[in-house]
Amino acid sequence: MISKKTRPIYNKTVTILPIVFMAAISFYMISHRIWFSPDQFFIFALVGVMFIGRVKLFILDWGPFMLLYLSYEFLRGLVPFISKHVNIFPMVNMDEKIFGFIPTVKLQSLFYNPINLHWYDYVAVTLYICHFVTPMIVAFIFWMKDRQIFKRYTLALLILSYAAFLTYIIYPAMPPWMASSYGYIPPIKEVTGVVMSHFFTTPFHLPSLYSIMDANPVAAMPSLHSAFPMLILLYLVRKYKVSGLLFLPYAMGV
Amino acid sequence: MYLGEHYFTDVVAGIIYATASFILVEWGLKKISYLIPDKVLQNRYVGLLYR
Repeated sequence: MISKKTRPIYNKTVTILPIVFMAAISFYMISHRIWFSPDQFFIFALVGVMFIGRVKLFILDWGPFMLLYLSYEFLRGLVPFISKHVNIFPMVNMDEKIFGFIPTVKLQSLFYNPINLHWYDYVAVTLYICHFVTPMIVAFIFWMKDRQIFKRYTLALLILSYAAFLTYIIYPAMPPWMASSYGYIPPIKEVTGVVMSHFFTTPFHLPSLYSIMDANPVAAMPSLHSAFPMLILLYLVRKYKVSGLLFLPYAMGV
Repeated sequence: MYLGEHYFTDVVAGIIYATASFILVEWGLKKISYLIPDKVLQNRYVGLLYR
């Protein structure tokens, strides 16, 4: 028998409405050059759950997670002030040892043409800017469907983020674009900005806590852009078994 | 990798970190939950994880 705390809290229709609402908001944001940040997601999700009268439960469940996650994001920006040494060549050497070349340089020389953008350029950039919002959407789906797995998923997400943060302090690593700009590796072209200039624009400006947070440009190792989709994939498979593998193309794409 | 944000090595490291976090939460912490006092396990946050 399913206990009161673990059973889904809503019926199917009521469950699906806030999820559709959040998916639509996320789609609008991404397609209009807005990096939909977790704090903005939290506010919109709060509005979404108001319609189903579960605001208190939402704040109690999401509050500690959001606080810890945003603390991590804030702390991440302090890394350049803590660690002065930056690792450049170990990753370059390892990639060259495995492939015989640097994959970024090779992929761009084969596929990228800024004059003539292809569909895969748009896919790559869209997946890239979904980095913040996808883990939140999945967390929201889990929260609506099964709070027990929501708790475990968000705990794993926090452990992963803080483990990465410690690594960024111990082992700051320069990303390829920066290594290229200093001339350590062959030239790499800026793809994200070029592709995003073709996205829609919007007159809205949404405030975000991220505007007061500093970025950490030497946070290449480990790649959270690959880690988050992997964690999501593992939890979706754990929850939905084989159906969870439908997320595999996204994870591979990122 | 295509966008120039990461090397292949970084991507592999990310996958390892994610898998390790998943294993830690799904099996590791559950294994040591007997070390956690009952009062803590009954907490609304901890209890829902390891019931």
